[in-house]
Amino acid sequence: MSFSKNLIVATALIFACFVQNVAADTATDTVNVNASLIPAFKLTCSNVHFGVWFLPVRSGSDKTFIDLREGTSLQGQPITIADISGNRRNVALNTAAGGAPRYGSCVFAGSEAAASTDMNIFIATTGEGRTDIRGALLAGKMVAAEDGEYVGLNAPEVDFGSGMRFGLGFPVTTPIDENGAGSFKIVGSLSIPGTIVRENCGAYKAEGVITLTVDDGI
Amino acid sequence: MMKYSVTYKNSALAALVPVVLIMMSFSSKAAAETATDDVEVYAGLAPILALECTNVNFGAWRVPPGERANFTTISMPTNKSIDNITPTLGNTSTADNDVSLSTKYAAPSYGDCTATGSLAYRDGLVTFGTVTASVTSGSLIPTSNNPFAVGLNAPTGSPLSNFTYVLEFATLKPIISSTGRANFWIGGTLTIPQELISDNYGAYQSGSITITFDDAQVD
Repeated sequence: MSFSKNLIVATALIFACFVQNVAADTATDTVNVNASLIPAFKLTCSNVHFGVWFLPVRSGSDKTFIDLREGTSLQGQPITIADISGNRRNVALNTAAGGAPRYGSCVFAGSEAAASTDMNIFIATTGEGRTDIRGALLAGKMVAAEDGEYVGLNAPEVDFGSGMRFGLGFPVTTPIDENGAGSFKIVGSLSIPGTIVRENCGAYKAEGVITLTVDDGI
Repeated sequence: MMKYSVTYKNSALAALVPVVLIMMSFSSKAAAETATDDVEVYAGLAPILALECTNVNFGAWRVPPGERANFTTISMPTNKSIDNITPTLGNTSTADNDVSLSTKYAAPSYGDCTATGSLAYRDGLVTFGTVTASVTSGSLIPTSNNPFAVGLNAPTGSPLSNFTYVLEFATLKPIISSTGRANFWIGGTLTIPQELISDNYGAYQSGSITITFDDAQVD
């Protein structure tokens, strides 16, 4: 019995220690605060310029075609090359005053899709009522540009009506890189009527508003 | 006539008989008389006061590069309604529609703290502890080890100034239950500067913040 009693005394001492601890007990842990910033999903495109062209006053049905494509300069830089086909007589490029042809260049960033996922590309225009064509060639007419981008070049006195047309080409999809970014080009084709009068000269632009959309599927 | 007799010449053998008799005598006594007693063994084990907290995560936010209309405020209210955090412009309540939450990385989450092992509870009394933090506001700095944005690297550019946080505690006096537990959580406000450049994008983290829970009831 005495052994048992000794144990009771020991227990009481331990309990006394706990009571004393209550007022002074503290516990700690550490935390940190986390946050991340990532680019918003954004698409930026430059405009497509078919350039400024010298054309003779002429008549007939033999059209001139201007095709934009990507080329490489002697220094290895990407440049826009405009190929002329069809009626090429007395047709020449005016490279002065920003008249050089330029394909459209689009870049996007901020996609959260997995790397190598395809970015779907759509285009829509109010010009001929087209909406959301996925990666197809978009065609429309060129109308007089009151606010053309070519410095010093006014709108024509008389435009071609539906005679001058454009087509735009771009990929159906383009890959998204590991940073959620990517790019693609917009090339194009312009057809100029066979009959041109002096009043047709001036600045033109595509009818309506052309909207490009990229969709990463998320 | 033949006689057969044995003479005990070996003294050890001569002594054998009495010894055997004595042992038998003991054995017989054990079977008849026993005595027992019970003992009880006691020991005391008490829990130690401990605190465990999860880190605070404001989430990953998609912000356009360049200068925006104002700085952006992200608030994690301490009423635990963080399912739909709306970024706001400056110090107003106007939604900042340029900024959106990424779904690719972990959603915002509170710092969730649980204290266990307190012996401060007293039956019939409301018992609470006291919470303190080593810092409650500061700047976030680039890191490659943000556990809530795995795979997102630290920004490469010069440190982004004015990317700051302010912690807000749901309570600084959490109730201690009869089982010795107390729970509280940490939210707060994140401020994203008005202008970002591409080098600012990436993962950020604060320094280590020490949270202390004292189960002494201090009014």
